Amino acid sequence: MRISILLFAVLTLANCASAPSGDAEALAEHQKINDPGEPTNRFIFKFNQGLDAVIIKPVTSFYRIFPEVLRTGVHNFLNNLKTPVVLINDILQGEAERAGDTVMRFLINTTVGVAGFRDQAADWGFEPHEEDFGQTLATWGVGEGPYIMLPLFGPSNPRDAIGKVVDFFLDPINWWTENSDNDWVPLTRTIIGGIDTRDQLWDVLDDLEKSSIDFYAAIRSLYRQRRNDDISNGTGSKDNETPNFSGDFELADPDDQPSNKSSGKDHGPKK
Amino acid sequence: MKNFHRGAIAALFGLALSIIVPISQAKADGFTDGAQKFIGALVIRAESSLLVEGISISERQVRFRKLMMESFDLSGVGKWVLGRYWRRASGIERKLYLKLFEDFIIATYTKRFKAYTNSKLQINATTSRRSSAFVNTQINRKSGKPIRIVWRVNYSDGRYQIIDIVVEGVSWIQTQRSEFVSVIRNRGGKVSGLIDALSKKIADLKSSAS
Repeated sequence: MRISILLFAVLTLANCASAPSGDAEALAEHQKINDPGEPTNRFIFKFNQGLDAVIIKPVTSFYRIFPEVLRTGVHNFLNNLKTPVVLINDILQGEAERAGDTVMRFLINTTVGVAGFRDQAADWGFEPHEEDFGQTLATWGVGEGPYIMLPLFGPSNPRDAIGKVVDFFLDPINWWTENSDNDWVPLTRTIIGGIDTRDQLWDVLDDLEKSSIDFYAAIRSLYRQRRNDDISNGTGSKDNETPNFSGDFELADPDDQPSNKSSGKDHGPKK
Repeated sequence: MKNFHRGAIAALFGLALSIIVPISQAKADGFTDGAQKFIGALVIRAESSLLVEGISISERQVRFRKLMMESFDLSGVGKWVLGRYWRRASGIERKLYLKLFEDFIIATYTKRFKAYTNSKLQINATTSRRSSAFVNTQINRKSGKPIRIVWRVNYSDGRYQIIDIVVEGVSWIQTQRSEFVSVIRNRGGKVSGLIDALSKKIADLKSSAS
């Protein structure tokens, strides 16, 4: 896995779309899009879409024959398996309260929640949250780097891709399988996890593909915004609250505004 | 003498602040309250006009368009989404694009908006930043975390208008902008390329809806 990421980093660099020169605005746009390997990425995206149509979607549609209660159970079970990694990242980010939540979630759901199939902890006020090493790196100040489309794994960037690898090695379940020759466990977990993820995204992806005129660009934007939201733990980082393209409505130059009327002058109802 | 000056300036500054702050605070409060009420009223209106039984699909679409036109700053958002390409577009292209943008948004969002209003929307706090109010709402589900939806509202022309919907941290206008800009860039930087793509998409959506 590490090798494949390295390989793609190299491929991406080799394929660098040349930055526009001369036009400051065009250059700024190029930097904001931050997708120097776009031609390669689009090719991999097409490949992933093909893979989805031929294997992933048919398998998931078969899986969707099972009642939702059961699928939610599987989803909860997989989430519970992730809690050790979530806890480690909570601690690495210095989030004491969240770490406490994670411990309580694991204790409650593993016992009362029948090995994690029921999310009893959420009903008792310990809401689930996601953490991974990519997010930890972000809170440590590591930038995302250029956008990368990974084969099979989908949208990513160097920071999040490295995060995925680190999470794999941080996971106590993987230490156990490594030492006990249960190599089938991580593979099975990855496959079922993939089907579960596809199932969870079923309606979202369907809706997005139907309504977008550039599905690749829509996914790229969504991935970044969702990651920023996760990194800020849903509190809305400055980046997220302010449209990070040309900034706020009223920060853009006059022609760039939605309308002159919605600029800063009209601050509220006149009295 | 120097110290006196500094003290006087600080005192003056403090006095000025103490006068300005309450006024702007009160103004901001009126604005955020108004924005929150506007969203609350919109949800009720959507429920009573769109979620009623026994109206035809075309009637539903007509009502949805009316609601969208009245509550969203569609032309403002349309221009913002194009960004620097708006300046490059010719007069005819601008007109054509804004009309298509309206059709495109209404065609794609009829379904989504229905999903938002179908379940009860809980309105939480409203904050303001610069000229926008952010009305925080959530949809509670039977299982799983509630879905966070933030409505960004501006006040202009004597009325409130929605300029963005942020669902779970994903901004509608930002996503739309990055998609549109990408289409233009991949078609030689021409707005006409986007116009072609939009009209094709709208035709597809219409044929699959009927």
